[in-house]
Amino acid sequence: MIEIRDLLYLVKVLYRETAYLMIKSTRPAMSPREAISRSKWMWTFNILLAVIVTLGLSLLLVIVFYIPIPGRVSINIEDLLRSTALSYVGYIFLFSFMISTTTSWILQEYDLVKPIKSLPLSEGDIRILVLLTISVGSIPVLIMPLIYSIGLAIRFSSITVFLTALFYGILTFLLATGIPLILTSHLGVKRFAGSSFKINILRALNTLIYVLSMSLTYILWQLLGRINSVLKYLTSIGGGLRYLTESLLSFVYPLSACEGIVSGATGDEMALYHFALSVIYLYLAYRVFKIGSRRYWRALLHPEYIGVELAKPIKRIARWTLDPKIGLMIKDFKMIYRNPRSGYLFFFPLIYSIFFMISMQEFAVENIAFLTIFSVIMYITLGFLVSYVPYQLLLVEGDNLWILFANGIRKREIAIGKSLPVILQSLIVLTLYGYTLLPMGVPATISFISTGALYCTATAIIVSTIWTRTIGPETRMLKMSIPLLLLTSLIQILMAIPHIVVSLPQICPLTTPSRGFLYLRLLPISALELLIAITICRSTLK
Amino acid sequence: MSIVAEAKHVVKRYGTTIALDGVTLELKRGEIIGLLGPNGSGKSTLIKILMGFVPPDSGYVSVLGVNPYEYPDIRAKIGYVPEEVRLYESLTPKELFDLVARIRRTDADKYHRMLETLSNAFGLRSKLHNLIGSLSKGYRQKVAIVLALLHDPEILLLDEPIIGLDPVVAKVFKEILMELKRRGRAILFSTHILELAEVICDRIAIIHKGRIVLEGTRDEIIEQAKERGALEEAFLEVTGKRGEIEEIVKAIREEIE
Repeated sequence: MIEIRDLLYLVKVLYRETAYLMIKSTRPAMSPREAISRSKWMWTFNILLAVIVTLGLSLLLVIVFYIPIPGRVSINIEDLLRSTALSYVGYIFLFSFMISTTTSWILQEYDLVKPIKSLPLSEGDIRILVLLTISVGSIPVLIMPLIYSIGLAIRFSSITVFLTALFYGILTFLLATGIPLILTSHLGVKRFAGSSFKINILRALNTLIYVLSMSLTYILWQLLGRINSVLKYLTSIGGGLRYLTESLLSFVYPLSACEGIVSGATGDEMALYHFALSVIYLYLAYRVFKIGSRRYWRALLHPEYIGVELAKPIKRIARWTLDPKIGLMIKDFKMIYRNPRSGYLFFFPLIYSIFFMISMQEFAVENIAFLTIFSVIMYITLGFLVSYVPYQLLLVEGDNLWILFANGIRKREIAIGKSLPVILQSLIVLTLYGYTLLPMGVPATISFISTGALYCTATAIIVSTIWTRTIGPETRMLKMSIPLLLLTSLIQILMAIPHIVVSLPQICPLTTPSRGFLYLRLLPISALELLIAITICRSTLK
Repeated sequence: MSIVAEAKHVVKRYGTTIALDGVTLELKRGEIIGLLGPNGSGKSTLIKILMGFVPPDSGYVSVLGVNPYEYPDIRAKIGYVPEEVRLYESLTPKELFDLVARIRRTDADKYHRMLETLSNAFGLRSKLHNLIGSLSKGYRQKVAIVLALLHDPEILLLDEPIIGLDPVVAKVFKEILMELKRRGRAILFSTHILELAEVICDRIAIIHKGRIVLEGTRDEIIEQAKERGALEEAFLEVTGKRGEIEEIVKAIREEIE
C-alpha cells in the first residue's frame, strides 16, 4: 500500500502534467519553460479558486433564507427553495463534470499513467492515484453540500432537509465524476484501433461527447434559464396527465432534488418518502461512480486494441477531389471528428451560435421590427465566430505543416482550403435560423441564408489569409500575436460596417420599404466582400 | 547528364551560427549523391534550402530550373523525407497518401497503381487503414518514404531515410533507389551509414562545419584522404573525429580500469 505522502506527491505530478497539457492546448505559442512554470502554480491557484467560488456561491444560496433582500416582493419560500436547490445541484454537476471530463480525457489521451506503471505500485494504488488526480480539482465543490445542507437545517430546524440536501449534493458529485469516467473509458480505449464503421462511429461519438462536455457550461446555463418555463408547462397540464406530471417532478433527478428539499424544509407528508428516494439515488450514483472508476483504470492499465492488421482493399480516390483545397478540407473534417480537441474547436462556434440564436429569436419575435436588424447582427456575430475556424484549423496542424509544403501546396490554397468548412458551418446555422424568418417570405429567407453564408466565408478567407501569411514549412506551431489579433478584429469591423449601415434604417418602420428588399440589398454587399477577400488572398499569398 | 539541382556558394546563418559556409554542389539526372557529415554539419540545412523551405542568405540555388523558395509549386516534382518524421496521428496512412495526391494533383490511376506497389513493397498493406498514431517508429518511417515516392518524383531529397527501417525493408529501399537511378531520377540523401553510401552512391560529399570538405567518387575520396581501407577512415580523417574518438575511448578505458 502506497504511503499517503508518496500518493499526494504522485497526484501532484500527474495534475501538473495535465495542467501543462491544458495550457499548451489553449496557448500553443507559450514557451515550454513558461508553461511548466505556470502549471506548477496552477495546482494551488485552481484549488484556491474553486474553494473561493464554491464558498461564495454556497453562502449566497443559504443567505437568501436568512437575510431579507431589500425591495424584494414576498417570494414564495417553496419557489425560493426550488430555485436554490436547482442552482445547488446544477453547479455541483457542472463543475465536477467539466473537471472530470477534461482531466480523465487528458490522462487517457496522453497515457500519462504509462510512466507510473513501471513503479512498484499495486493496481489498487494506481486506481486511487488516478481517481484522486481526476477529482482533485473538483473536490473543493464538496464544501457546498455541507454549507447548504447545514444552512437549511438550521433555518428550517429539520434534520430531514439536512440529510436530503447533503445526499443530493454528494450523489450529484459522484454522478458528475462517474459518468465521464464511463464514457472516456468506453470510447477512449479503442481509439487507435484500426478503421471500421463501428470504430468510426465510436470516434465520432467520443468527439461529440468531448465537445458537449466542453460546451456544457454554456448549454446548462441556457437550459437552466428555460427550466422554469418547462416546469410551468408541466404543472399546467391538467386531467389524467396531472398525476403523471407530478410523479415525474417528484421522481426524476434533478427535479426530485428540488421537491425533496422543499418537502424536507416544509416538513410535509412526503418528506420521508423523498429522503428515501435520495438514499436510493445516492446508492445508484455510487454504483455509477464505482463502475466508472473500475472501467476507467482498467482501460488505462490494459488498453484494448482491436481491428489491427486489417488488410482491406485500397479504395480509389475520386477524381473530383484531386485538388489541394478539397484535399485539405477532407483531411480537416476527418481530423475534426476523430480528434476531440479539433472537434471542439470546430463545433463550439456552432453550438454557441445556435443558443445565441434561440435567445435572440425569443427577444426579437416579440418585436417584428427588430427581427430584421437582429438577423443581420446574427450573421455578423456568426461571421465573427466562424472566422476563427481557419485559425483553429491551422492550429491543429501543429508541427505537420511540412507535409503540406513539401508537396507543393501554395499558401493561398491553404488559406482558402481552411475557409471552406466555414461555408458548411454557416449554412447549417443560418438555415436553422432561417426557419424563424419564414414569415417574411421564402425569398427573404433564402437571401438571408445566402447573404450570411457569403459574409461568413468572406470574413473567414480574410482572417485565414492573415494567419496563413505567418506560417511556413518550418512552422512548428502557429503563434498568435496581439498586432495580428487587432488587425483581424479591425478587418472584421470594417466588413460589418456596410451591413449595419444598410440595415439600420430598418429599426424605423417608416423608412422600411420591405424586409425582403433589405436582403436583396445586402446580398451584393456580401458577394462583393467575398470577391474582395478572394482577390486579397490571391494577391498577397504565393 | 543534365544538372537538375544545384547550389552555388550557398551561405546560411542562424543567428551567430553558420550552418552553411559557401557550399557548392551539383545533382545530375540519373545520379545518387550521398551527403555525409557529423551531427550539426549542415546536411539538413542544405536539403531544406534545396526544398525551398528556407532561403539562403547568399548564393544561388536552382532546382529543375527554378528557385524553389520563390516557386514552391516545384516541390510537387520532388520527393522529400525529413530527418525527423512528423505525421498527422489522427489520419490513416491511406488518408495521408490521398491528401498528398490531392495536393500534388496526381493522376488518380497512376496514384492507385503506385500505392498498391509501394505499400506491398514496404509491408504497409495491412497498416494502411490504421491510424498513424498507433504505428511504430519504423512504420512511420515507411509511411514517410512511401509519401516521397508515390508521385514518381524527378528528384529525391532524403534526410537520413534509412533510420528505423528493418534490414529487409532497407534492402528493398536500396533496390528502389537503384531502379529510380536507372530511370534517370536524381537522388541526394544524407546518411550516417557509411556502408550504405559506399554501396549505392555515385558520388559522395562530406560536409563539415558548413563546408564541403571532400567530394568525389568513393575511390577518389579515399585517395584524397590518403588512407587505406574504407570510407569510414576517410570520413574520420577529414572531419577530424579520429583524435576525438581516440580520446574518448582512452577516457572510458581509464575509467573502467
